[in-house]
Amino acid sequence: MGNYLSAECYKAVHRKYIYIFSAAMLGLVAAFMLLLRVEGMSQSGDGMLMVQRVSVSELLGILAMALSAGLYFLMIAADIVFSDQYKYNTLKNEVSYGLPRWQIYLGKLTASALTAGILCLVLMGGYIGIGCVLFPAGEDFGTNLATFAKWLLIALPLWLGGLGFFNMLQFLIKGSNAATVFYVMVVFLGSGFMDLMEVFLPALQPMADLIRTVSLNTPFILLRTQSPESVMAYAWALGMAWLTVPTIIGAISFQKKEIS
Amino acid sequence: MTENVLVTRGLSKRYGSHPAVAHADITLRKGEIYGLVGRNGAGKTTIIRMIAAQTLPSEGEVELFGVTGEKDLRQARSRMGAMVEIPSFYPYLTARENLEYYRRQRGVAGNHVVEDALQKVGLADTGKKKFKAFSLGMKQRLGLALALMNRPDLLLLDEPINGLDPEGIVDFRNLLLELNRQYQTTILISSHILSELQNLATSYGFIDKGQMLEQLSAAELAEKCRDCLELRVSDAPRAAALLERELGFRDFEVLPGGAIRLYEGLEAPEAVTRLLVEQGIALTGVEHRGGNLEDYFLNLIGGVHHG
Repeated sequence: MGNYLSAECYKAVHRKYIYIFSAAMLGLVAAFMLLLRVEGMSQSGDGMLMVQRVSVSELLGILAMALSAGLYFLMIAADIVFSDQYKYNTLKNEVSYGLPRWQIYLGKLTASALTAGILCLVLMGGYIGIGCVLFPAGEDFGTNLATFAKWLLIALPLWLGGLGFFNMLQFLIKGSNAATVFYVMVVFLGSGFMDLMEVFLPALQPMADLIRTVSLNTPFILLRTQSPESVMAYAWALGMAWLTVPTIIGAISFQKKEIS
Repeated sequence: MTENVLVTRGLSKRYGSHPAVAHADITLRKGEIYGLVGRNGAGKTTIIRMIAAQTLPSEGEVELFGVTGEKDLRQARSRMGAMVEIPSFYPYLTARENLEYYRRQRGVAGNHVVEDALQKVGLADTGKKKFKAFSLGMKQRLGLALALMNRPDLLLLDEPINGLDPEGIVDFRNLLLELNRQYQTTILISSHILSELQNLATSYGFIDKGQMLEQLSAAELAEKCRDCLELRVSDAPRAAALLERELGFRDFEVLPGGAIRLYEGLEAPEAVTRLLVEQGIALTGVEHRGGNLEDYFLNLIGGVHHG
């Protein structure tokens, strides 16, 4: 497995994709920060520019609210690793050398998680780093940092769950676009669609409740009204279920898949 | 006794009700170069794909280096190099980067193996050129480099000379012959360029419509393809004696069923027929036989097929 991960990391760092994506996202983050900085400035009576309102502490709050976007970004990391295997037919080079298929499946999943983790560190590090340069820490920095860490601990299993599901789709569906569309439909539009259906067909309410309960987005929604502590166990149970069930299904299905 | 490197027993593949390969029994001994001959769609690639674990057999089994179980086969495949259909690599990586990726993945020790493999196939100077910018011939060479990278004991090559220029074909042939001579590498090669196969193979398997029609050694094929005159006569033993006594012929064989295969005097067949007729031996047929691998194959499958 170590060899497999080493190879996947080698491939990922030799793609322009990862650098272009990181640079674009950091550029957007920098632009957002500069906008906040300019907006937050006003001229004081003695003619000096002063930075008002915005602090790193508040930036952490904004970042915490945006953690559900990680469910989107993980698709980028998984795509960097999976690299259109079915389009380029590169899997045949791996199976014909005798690499176990479960190793190929879990190797891609682990490499995707590693890549997602690195991208996450770069983007969050960039966001917080630029924030520290441009803004003061803020009075309640310590408290907000602790809350952000809890939100992050809730997001982590949900991201892993999303990754497990997306990895399965990539292996089972030929075509990255189709896998992406299916993922977005299930993860983001599934509960919304059921909300809509429930309005027209009240009989669907039990099914809508079930879908809301198992939706990866639900813990993020609950965090708006509930404490992180009360959502933590639910988020981990849900995330691990989304990670393990699709991984088992995907790995078993891949065992007998025709590699052309 | 020579070690069996690859044995397939009753190897079959069905797609729905369509049998792509039916009960293929193939044996490759160490150091053999086995030419798999067949038309497009005959089942050559499917056999190679089953050996390479790209598709699961519907029936039958594969034995590699004496082992058969799934786990043992996986390990045995690490002694194998395969190039099946069009070589596939990551288009955004260079030749060197692609090979380095697979070297790491396969745990092949030594950074020099990538360079050595590129040197062997003449791609050492491709620099930063990405795989997507490669010609078909260059892609074939890189596919071969990957197959050779772990210095395999068995090479599976499916139509490997497609897209190669004449110089590339000669280089490729010499490389395979060198590997075979130097390291006793066993090679299973399929190609529809039969003249090229004839320059390489030490044994042949002929396949048509998923059925293995015949397997024979290069020596047996040469014997069968040797130019000769086949005479169907009423009294073969007497005719043979006459040919030997009257014309001094030694190079002929008497076949069961009243036929004689004559390998000399082909330039003047009328002398032979005249002698036999004058001596009262009824001649029911005279046929010139022989040719190359292509003729033999076409004869085996019953002539040229179109479509």
